Amino acid sequence: MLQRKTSLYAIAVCCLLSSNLQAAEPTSSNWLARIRLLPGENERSHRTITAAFRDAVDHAKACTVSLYADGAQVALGTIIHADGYVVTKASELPETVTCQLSGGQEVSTKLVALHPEYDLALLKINATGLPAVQWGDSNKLHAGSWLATTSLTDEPTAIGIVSSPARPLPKPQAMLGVGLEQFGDLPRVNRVIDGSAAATAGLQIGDVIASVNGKAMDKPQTVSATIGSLLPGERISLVIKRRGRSLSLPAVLGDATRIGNLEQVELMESLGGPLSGRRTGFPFVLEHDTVLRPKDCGGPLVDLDGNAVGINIARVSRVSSYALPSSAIKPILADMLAGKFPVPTDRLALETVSTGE
Amino acid sequence: MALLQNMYDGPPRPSNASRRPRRAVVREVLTPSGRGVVRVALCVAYLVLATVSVSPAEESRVPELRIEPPRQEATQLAALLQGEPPQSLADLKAMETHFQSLIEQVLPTTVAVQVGPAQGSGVIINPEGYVLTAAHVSGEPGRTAWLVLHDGTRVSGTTLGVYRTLDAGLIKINQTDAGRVWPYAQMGESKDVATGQWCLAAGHPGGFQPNRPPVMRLGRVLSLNDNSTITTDCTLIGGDSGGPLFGMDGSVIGVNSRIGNSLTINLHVPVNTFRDQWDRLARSDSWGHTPGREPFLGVQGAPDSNDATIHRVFPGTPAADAGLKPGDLVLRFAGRRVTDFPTLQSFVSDEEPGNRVTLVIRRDDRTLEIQLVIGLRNN
Repeated sequence: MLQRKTSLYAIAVCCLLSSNLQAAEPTSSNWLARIRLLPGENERSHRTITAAFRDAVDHAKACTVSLYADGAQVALGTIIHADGYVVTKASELPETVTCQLSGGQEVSTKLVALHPEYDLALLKINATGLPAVQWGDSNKLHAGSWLATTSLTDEPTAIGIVSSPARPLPKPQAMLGVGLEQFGDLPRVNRVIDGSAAATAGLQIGDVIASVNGKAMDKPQTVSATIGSLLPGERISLVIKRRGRSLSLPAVLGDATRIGNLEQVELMESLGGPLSGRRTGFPFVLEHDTVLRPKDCGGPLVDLDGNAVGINIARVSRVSSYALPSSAIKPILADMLAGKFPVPTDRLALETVSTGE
Repeated sequence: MALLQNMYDGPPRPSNASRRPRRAVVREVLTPSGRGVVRVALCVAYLVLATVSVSPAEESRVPELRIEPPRQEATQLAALLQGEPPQSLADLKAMETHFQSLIEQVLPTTVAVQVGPAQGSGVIINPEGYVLTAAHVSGEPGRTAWLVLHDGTRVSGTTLGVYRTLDAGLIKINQTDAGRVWPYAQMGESKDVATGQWCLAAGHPGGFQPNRPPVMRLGRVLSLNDNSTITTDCTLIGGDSGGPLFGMDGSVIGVNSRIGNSLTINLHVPVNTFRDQWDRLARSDSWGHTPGREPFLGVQGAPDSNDATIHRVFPGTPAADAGLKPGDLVLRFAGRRVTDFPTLQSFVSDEEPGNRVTLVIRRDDRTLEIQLVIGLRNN
């Protein structure tokens, strides 16, 4: 019998106060000290618990695929049509991915539709006669309903419960983190906020912003409007002019609601593993307490009857993952299959990065 | 150590109450290190709390929160909830039905709490509107607290006592309607908590959001530490502080407090702390220190002498900085008469680091006043 063992390292703790946003102080210099836990038989995710979900994921595991790039998994995917259509989380996908089916077979993929708002990508994979996921009704879920995130094997990747019923999310606000002024016929940076996307990207006071994502900028308002149309976590390319030279700077947009005590928030979040790059801006979400990694998103989330009640779309915080509820996305998937959301020629704006890996 | 006077001297560990043989309780090594509450001044807006007028009292019916497992298969379900591994989908469904009905009943008892810039959570535990929270959320007695009930109703409250050592705080909802009865949860018995049992944590992670009811996290009890904390794998984050940890009968067994650097380190104040210290909390006492925030003077004396003569002054401490010397006899501390060294220690422990105090001392034949700033014990 294995006891849950705690090493003699100190355990750092954080107060869970939310001061305005989420302020808590890490304890001390030793907060990085690692404690080593053998798999605990008392833990929720112990095999003795997850094994009971085998029957629940029996069908859905065959509808789950793993998407790979350069030999590493980048996301899971959900087979939604027997003719080889797979839906997944768009922003985790590099340009080319290969798809592994639950039988082990590897096939190529082609991106055929994109829904930026829901961060969904539709892939056509080089296989037919596949089992398609059976949808459940997410409206019938209650807080406390069991949920299983499938894998390609007999047991789920992870389990959890509905933390909060499906709800619309307020629209997030992307933020670059600069103050701007008019300089001739161009916008010029007169302030860079500490810890912001602009500071991380290396923007300096006095830089002139010539273009954002290839679009020419002529005044501060144009920059604000362009940034405002994008989402936190999105990667943008800036062309700036500094001391007569033209520079190209990539930046990852921040979240306007989280600036200010960024370090505190990130420290607390870092006590729970990496988060998805794109984790806001979904119109409708189901919040659940399953512990996922960013690369576990894109696959089916099933109830005890084995029906998909959602697609995992983001690891959001130390305590939550988001799924897109089936009731919200079934019509959207139909539209994507019908060709209503073609892939734009410039995919740059969709790419984001995950933190902490 | 004077500090230990305030340590929780709770009842012994629970006896073997569960169906399964009890395992050795693993003690975690918690370093009492600096982790004071930060009240960061921010340049951004507060997480907006919906401003809703107080709704009139509807009826005086108080929901019954004790949840009995269904009669059929009751034994089996009880064992599952105690931590027996589920063997089938039927077992999981029985658990799920129980979780759902339990959440439905306890949800209205969980509130969002705002005190100054701090946002946390709390749980109402009686019809008069007493709310358990964390000491680092309520801060100190006599402050105005704003509470948002599960349905968005916003009511005011007043902070009562804080027991900082174990992070226990109490708030009373200001009675706005005579006879208004608040939905409340029962206070459970943390002595009966056993490792492996299932539990649910509730709160407002990230702060209150207008269209989001209290957020539920399912987990299991992983360890019990000297009756001072319950550790679970119900994941917590900023904003959850002060929220309830519910046992499977719907009673509150703990209050969310802090987290460590793994997803399985989520610490809760055992509810017995509140029960045992109820009188002091209810009369707005403020005592103890957040671990890592212990006050410190930097002197040594004889514990058994009949005066407070300083035998040693440690270099680099507040005492040394203020010019205290061995042989000084302390007569008064912050206006209070000092009769012996343990008295001095207890007066120091009543202070918070950073407080400015005046000491009256006798040195040779002179009486001197010495100003000093209480320091922070550096472990």
